[in-house]
Amino acid sequence: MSAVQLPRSPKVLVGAGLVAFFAVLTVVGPWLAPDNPSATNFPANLAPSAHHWLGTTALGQDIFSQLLVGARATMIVAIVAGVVATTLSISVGVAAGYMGGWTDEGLSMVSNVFVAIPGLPLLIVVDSYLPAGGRSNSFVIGLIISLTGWAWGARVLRAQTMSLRNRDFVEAARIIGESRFRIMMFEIAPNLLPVLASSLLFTILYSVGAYVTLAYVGLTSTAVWNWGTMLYWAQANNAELANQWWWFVPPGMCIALFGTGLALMNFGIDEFINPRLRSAGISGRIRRASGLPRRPRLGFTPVARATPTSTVKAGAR
Amino acid sequence: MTSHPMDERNLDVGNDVVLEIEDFSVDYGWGDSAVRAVNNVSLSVRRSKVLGIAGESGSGKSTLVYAATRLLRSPGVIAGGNARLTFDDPASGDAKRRTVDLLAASMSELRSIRWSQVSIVLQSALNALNPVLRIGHEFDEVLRTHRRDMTKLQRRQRAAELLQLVGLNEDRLARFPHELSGGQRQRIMIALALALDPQLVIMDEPTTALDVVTQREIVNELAQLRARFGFSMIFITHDLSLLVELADDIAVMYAGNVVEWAPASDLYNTPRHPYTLGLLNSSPPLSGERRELVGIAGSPPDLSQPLSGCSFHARCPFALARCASDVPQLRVLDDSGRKVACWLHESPATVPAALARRTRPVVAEAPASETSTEVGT
Repeated sequence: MSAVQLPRSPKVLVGAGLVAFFAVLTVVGPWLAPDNPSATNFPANLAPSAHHWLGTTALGQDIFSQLLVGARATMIVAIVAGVVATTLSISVGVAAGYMGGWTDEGLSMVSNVFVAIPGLPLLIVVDSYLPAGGRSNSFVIGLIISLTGWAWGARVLRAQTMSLRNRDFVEAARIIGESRFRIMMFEIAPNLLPVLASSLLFTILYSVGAYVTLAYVGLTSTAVWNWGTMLYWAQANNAELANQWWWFVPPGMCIALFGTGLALMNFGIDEFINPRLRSAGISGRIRRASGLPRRPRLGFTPVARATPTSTVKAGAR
Repeated sequence: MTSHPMDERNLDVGNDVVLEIEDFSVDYGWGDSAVRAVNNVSLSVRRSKVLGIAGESGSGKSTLVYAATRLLRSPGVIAGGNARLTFDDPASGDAKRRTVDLLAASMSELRSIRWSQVSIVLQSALNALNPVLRIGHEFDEVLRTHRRDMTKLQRRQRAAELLQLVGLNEDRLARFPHELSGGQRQRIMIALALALDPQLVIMDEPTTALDVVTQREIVNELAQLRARFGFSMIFITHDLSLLVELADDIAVMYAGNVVEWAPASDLYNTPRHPYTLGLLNSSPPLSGERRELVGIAGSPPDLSQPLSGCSFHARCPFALARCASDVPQLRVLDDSGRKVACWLHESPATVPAALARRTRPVVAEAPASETSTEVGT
């Protein structure tokens, strides 16, 4: 039996497949793109064809190339923002929850302020002060988005940490003199993994949304192709009114599919981390064949007898 | 107290069975990764009798009982067999017995049986009592739910009476769990388990966390309560000598199998399975001369690996060649109805002296001198 059992439920597999697909696209997208996404050397407003799989824009650019190239910036921003925001939430949340007292008061206040501030307007304000170089840099944009995305995670982790800090194993670690940092990172943090993992997935999802929104309202550099910029240009050229669906549907679909993938993967996390939930991890066919329930129910142990009731008398020889 | 319905229960009942478990198997996990924790076990609990289940940690004793009452948590799965509970149904007149197939029962059926017909006392009473509720509240809650016609005063009286049954003063009703000692909390759990006059009480190592003096008091009290109210009891423990005093029958489990099942005194005085003998030799006798304690060499088999033959053969001092290949079945050994799953008893010639005694051994006696007279049970 391998130490790590991957979840096998179709939901999780589909989610992981979608996310993996977009991850691959991030790496190879720009190389696969048949044309320069900014080059305007094609006829304008072409419908999809064998030459231009997704047609061309009003300026005569190849939309398929834009979609492929745009994947990279979108993903980089999303991942940078997701990782930075989650790191911030762990540091603030665990420190506040574990140390308590004034540290907690201070850190909680800061995170409460960030929870209360409406994220998008703040992003727009910060972003409009950025120099042009910053606007075209995916890492800078990612950092700025993480600024508005960490506070919820921090609050959840703080609550979870507070419930863990008085457990026996944490008290034992304190008594034998482990350092605070070690207790927080090695004793407490692993117990926060399920919360942490789903918070990471949803922060990434939030970051995609935030980045696309910023690009859509025209606040990122139009020189960097991403799915939001595509939507921005489609909107600016009235693609919706002209019924040029191939211009705005593909980037929208990509965003939706990536989001769906992340959300589906989140189902798998509980199952992956909590072994008790793993009956949900076997395929529906096997589950039905062996008579197992969809979800284990406390106080109702499933019966999966190979032979029907009362015919099992073999042992009585 | 004497007016209580429990007292009028007929104690003079014969061999009828309260809980019958047949060819029962339990797996942890499913498919290829399933581990068979209980393997084809058949047991029955007789009315008003105590069945003791003994065995070391991981032998499947708790798993068996939890699974039979459908309390086993995921990833436990009942992989085969039957479990039936027979009880006097108060709703259908006094003489009416009702049998419920526990494995086919619905959640609501199970809910109606639990606590009122089958109750369970767990090992860690500290975790079972809600720390923010006073003890009295716990009693009040269960009586309010299950005995709708009781008034508040009656419920309070009943709670006080139950506390007295387990040797606690009724002022404990106003206390919180953290104000009581471990023994007191365990008594409260026992009182709670008895609150609805169940016909079967399951005790899962109820005294393991307690010191031996408290353990003794609680076991004595349980024996008295049982004699007085006539409920049946399953007592799970790894302490075989404790069981001998309390239980009528004892089943010894090893690696998911029942290896020996006998009346308590027979099992204690004249063990027939090498594992039982090993267990008895590893704890001091309750009375009699001092003797050297001998452990059982080795450790229990890994159940996730397929076993061949008898699960105990690798540790058995008397193992025969066939023990490594053939699985022994639990079979009736003699007239007293005791059963053992061991190849040694297939033929009189292979029975070692230590497993053939007819009476309690005298310590000074050398095992070799018994051989000639005692072989041939």
